[in-house]
Amino acid sequence: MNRSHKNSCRSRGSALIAVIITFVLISAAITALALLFATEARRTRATLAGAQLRQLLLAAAPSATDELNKNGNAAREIPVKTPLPQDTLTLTITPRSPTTAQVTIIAKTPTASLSQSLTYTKTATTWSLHTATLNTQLASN
Amino acid sequence: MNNPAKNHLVILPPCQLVTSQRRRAFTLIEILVWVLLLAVVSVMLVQLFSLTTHATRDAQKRDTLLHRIDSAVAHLRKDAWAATKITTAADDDSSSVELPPVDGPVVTWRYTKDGKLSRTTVPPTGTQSWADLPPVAFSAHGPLLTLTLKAVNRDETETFVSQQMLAQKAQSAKTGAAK
Repeated sequence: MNRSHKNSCRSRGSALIAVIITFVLISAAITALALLFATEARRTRATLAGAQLRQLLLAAAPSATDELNKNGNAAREIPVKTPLPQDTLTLTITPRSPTTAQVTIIAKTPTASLSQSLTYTKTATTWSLHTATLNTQLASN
Repeated sequence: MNNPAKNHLVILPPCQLVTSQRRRAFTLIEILVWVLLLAVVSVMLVQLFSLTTHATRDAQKRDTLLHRIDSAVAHLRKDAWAATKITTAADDDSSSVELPPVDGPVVTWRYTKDGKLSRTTVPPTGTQSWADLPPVAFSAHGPLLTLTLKAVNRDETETFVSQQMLAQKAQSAKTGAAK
């Protein structure tokens, strides 16, 4: 009777070890896969946000040119209307000289923001784009 | 003197004694089943261990590769954004794209067969490179540069826009319309 009880305990011990090992292995696999999925999801979200922000930046460049041609390069900040109300787009004009100006465009969505710097030069009466620099650091709001 | 209640071995009938002794050991069938179960469980555990190790290693590898690709893509996007012209070239051993900005050095991106994507400037201001990448191909369509990553399962494409070229295009369209 006693020995039978001991055998039963041993059997349960082996089963318990097997269960623990299985549990640890499965947990490790699930953790690795979860991390991979989380990274993928984060990357997809960042890619989508980045694409949307770049669209806004590209759409704002003609507005910056028009603004300079209409009102000159006096320092000012102009909000630009966006298709989605939760997104914001701001032009900041900074004069560098009477014939050069820097326009910083900042696009913001509820989750991220991105900016670009445009340098304009004036030839005769028209302002035209000289250089465009994308600030690649996508900031999460 | 001869108290049967004190020594139960004496009072047990021989058939019961034999049965009791037999119960203390395992039968051959029991051992065989146990060995078989142990083998099955061991095989399953080894398989599971191998699968876990592979999954963990693959996840880490993929994560590192994605970081490397994202870093290269961010640099390329910045270069393409400021480019005044996009010129691609390809031969059997490499694929490249030249992105000259208005000011500053001309940037050339080149992918070589050994899996290395490099960014060089003329005049040289330093070279950046990303190793162990899947095959890369460049193609240009007006102000758009397309990067194709030829992965094992499927090709992945990433498109970059040149703000500079778009602005030039808009400017010339405006000038043309005004004329």
